[in-house]
Amino acid sequence: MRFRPGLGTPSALASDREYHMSDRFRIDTVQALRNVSGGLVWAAQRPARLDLLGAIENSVDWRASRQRVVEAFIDLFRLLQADLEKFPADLPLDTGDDAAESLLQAEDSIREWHAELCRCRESAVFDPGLSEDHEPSVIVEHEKLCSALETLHALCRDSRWYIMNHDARLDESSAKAFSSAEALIAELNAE
Amino acid sequence: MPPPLGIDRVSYTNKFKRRYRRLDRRMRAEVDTLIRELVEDRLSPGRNLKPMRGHDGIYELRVSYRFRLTFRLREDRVAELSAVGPHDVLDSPA
Repeated sequence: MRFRPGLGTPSALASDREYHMSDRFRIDTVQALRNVSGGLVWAAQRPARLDLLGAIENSVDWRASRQRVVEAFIDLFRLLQADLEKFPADLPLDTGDDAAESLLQAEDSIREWHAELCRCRESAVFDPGLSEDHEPSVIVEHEKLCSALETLHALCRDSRWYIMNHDARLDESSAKAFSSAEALIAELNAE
Repeated sequence: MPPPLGIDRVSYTNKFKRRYRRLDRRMRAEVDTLIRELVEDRLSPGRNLKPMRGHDGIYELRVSYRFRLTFRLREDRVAELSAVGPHDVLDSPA
């Protein structure tokens, strides 16, 4: 019988304990990455529900709170990435083959959010309604959040590539190695 | 020109094939061009061949500005195609 991690059932054998620790590590880290990616998609969709002009008017407070959320995600991703790099090379990280997909979705959401912020920033730059006193702070807040999103996006992307390359070592290789590019491409396109 | 890696032949992993087959026609054609350059050992400097940080023996190549391919150079000089996908970089607002 396999003990499930987290149930607190001690294993009598040291090797079993090591195995279960590795197993638990994998589940926790990759599950956390999935959850964080899901959270990111959720968080990134919030701004779309706000009226753009309203967002610009309330920009400083609104942006500052989003900034804190994004920075929390950045801290979380840095911790998870450090965990990934300690993971044993002989165990797959993404057994369900969906963590990389979740991260890619998170990247897409961040890109959309970032693009929207760039548009907001542009509006603020050219908005005649914004006084000279307000305009610089609005623009600076947009730029700070854009920069944090760029960092977060890079962390998601690097985690995704790390997982794909880690697991590729353990994946089954094609039966044949090719010295002809056309034969290799034909094989890749074959069912 | 990037330094020669001494690749004899090229293979691929099952996951690489799955990811390749999910690409649209245009991107697949771009990957095919890169595969031809790799097999025929004529990678251009623009492919930006470099080792992947944190993975010994794995190298990355640029398919296009926002797309990458990675491969593992095995001890038998076979380059095993590992992964292909977007490698987007968000540009700061001007």
